[in-house]
Amino acid sequence: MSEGLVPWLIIVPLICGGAAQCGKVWKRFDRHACVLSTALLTGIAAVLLPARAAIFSGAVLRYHLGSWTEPVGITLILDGAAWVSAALIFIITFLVAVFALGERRYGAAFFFFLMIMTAGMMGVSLTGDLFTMFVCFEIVAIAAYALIAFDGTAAGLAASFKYLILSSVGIFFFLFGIFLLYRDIGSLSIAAVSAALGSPGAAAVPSTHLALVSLCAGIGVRTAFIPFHTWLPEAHAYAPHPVSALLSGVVIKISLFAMLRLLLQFGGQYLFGLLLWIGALTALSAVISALAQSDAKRLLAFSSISQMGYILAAFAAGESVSLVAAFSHAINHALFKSLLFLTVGIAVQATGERNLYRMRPLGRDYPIISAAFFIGALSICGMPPLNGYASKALIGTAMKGSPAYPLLWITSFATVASFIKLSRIYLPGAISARARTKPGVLTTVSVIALSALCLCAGIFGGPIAGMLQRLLQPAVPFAVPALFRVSALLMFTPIAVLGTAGYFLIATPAARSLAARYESFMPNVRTVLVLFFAGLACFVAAGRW
Amino acid sequence: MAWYLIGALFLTGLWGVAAKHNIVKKAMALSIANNALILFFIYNGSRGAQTAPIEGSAKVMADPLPQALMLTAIVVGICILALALALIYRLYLRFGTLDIRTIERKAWKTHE
Amino acid sequence: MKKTSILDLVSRKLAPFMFLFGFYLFAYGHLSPGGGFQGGVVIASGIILLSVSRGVTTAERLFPVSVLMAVEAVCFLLLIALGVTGSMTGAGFFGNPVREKIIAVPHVSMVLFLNVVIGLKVGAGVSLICMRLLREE
Repeated sequence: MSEGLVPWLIIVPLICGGAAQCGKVWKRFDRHACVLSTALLTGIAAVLLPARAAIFSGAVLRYHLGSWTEPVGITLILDGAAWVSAALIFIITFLVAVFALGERRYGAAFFFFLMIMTAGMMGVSLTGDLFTMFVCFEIVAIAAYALIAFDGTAAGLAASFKYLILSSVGIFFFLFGIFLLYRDIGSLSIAAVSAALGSPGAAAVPSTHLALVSLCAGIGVRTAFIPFHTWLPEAHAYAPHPVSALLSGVVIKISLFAMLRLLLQFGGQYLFGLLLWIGALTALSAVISALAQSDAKRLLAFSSISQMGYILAAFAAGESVSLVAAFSHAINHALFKSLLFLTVGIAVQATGERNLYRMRPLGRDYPIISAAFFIGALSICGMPPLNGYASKALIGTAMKGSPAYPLLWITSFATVASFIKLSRIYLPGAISARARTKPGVLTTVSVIALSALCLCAGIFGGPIAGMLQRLLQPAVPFAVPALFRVSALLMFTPIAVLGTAGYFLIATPAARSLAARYESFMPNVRTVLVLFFAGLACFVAAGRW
Repeated sequence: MAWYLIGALFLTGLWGVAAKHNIVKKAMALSIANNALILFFIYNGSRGAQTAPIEGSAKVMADPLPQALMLTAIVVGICILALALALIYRLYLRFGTLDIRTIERKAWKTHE
Repeated sequence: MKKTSILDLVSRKLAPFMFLFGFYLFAYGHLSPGGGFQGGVVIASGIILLSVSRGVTTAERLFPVSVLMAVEAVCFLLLIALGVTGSMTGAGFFGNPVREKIIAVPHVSMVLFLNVVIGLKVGAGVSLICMRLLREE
């Protein structure tokens, strides 16, 4: 396995983007270009599979672009974490592209942005220095702004603009953090900076503390935890359906993985206390907002924020199993959340309604899609043979003694309640004579593939956790937890019961009117920015006591 | 002294993004803040230097690495600004106003 | 107030020199300050000057939007192809495939090719952005 294959992880999506752009220019080849670019995307798998043997045995593949070594050159590093991220990006992007091909209303321009976003995400995962990370973050962001506003709807344009403003302010702080590090250390590669910071890490000097905090705040906007999350509900809800699936599935995970990498390499352990509480509060408050929503996609978007809070809290608990738990839940969330967004998107398309109380039940019209939706909904609730159960069990192990654990516990049955509320759109109702537009073959295939992956990731949850541990922390010994012990399975029962009780509580009319009033509270752009600066100040203060 | 001026420029940009209601002014303020960050890097690289980093000069050269990186940062800033202006144009065609408060109120209403 | 013809006249005489300066910037970018992006933006500013002073439809007769889009797409693929040739000859992606001087062409010819391709792409891209916005479609 030569290291020369590593840049092809970025070159292949760029070639696919070039093919899509040719389809945009020469309109006669529009459809051919879309199919060609999706087909060429499988080239990424052709790079990842041969690398599997080397990466799994602990090797780290480094590639210097143009044979320029550090400190002036760009280095691409393919280690275990980068391999996992690249595999996740490939699976989700490929399935979303297949879904978009099946929908037939997305032209070559859509695929162009999709492929450019993939190339940017690969760049973020693979890069070895901070400035390339900044550039690749911005590539992903620009493609995201264009994709969210792609349909030209009023809400999509406004959501994209709000995301642009907040995300640009965040990335300015990221660049400011890079500046502070460059001023003190004189180099921008992650390895050189982490060597220079040494063992006391970034807490030693005020300027490096401010630098790490700025970097985290900048990425925090992209990852959407409180108080930087306000752009996410509108952006994910009013985007086109495959775009929502991609954004909620992969884009927020990539920035989270980058932040985890920076925190671990730059000695950010002193921030873990603050991050634990931020994660737990994000999880709880976002799921309460999700309970109040009547728009189906906004409910899913709020539940995305809540699950990101879960992942962050699990990581910040600092146990030996934390990193594996966080990565495992991130991967599983990518799988089931994109599945949910795609199936709910099909429902919104079929009924023409976004309000879940007004949608007619589609259970009998689209039986395959309903089954896939229920697999996704049961995964996020944490039902035993599915993947949500495996990663939530790992998170439970990671957070066992932590004071923030009760908040996550309340979150899990609030999640069950909110998804019982959402599942009314796919209940078996009367077969409607108007259901003429069946979803296409490719659409159904992509949805079935995602649900099959959810099922497999759940059944093989233990071995997958072992594999992740070998990839992420090869030095630390790890016993594969027995996920299917009866005592662990019984843990799910109180969650299910309390969740169902919670659902009946919120279905009462008094709760519904309270929810309607809560739902109409949407912070405007000025409040959003004030919250951002408040969050930044919190982070800065955190390291000083 | 120059640090404080560049810092004031950055804070002006951030204040403009937060406080102004006109979306064109918000985009302009984003651009100002971006330029201030670029100036931070370039000024830092030029401290103690006497000439531009061209090969063959005998004097002390400015640090060429931040200059090369800032070219990329300028390109990124231009792309963001171009996209923001395109969005602003479409928003204006759709809503008829440039005030972010009116736009947000009308936008979320259509999906209630 | 009537619109005078001075803007028309001056822009028609000045624009070719702006294109020339843009070409100079990206052709000499490896020796003196300049480079692909800078030259491309100056070329785009020449096109924008023509569009602003004489109207987009007149500027489009000289630089049709379809041709600019084709230039952009072809240059993107050409850029990736240049990078891949570098990696094929063992010098790394975007590395220099030219080992020694070929008659008088210096060792830095890879940077020259990259500058030219990037300059054309950026010129086409930025002028497309501005022409689309000026067209008010």
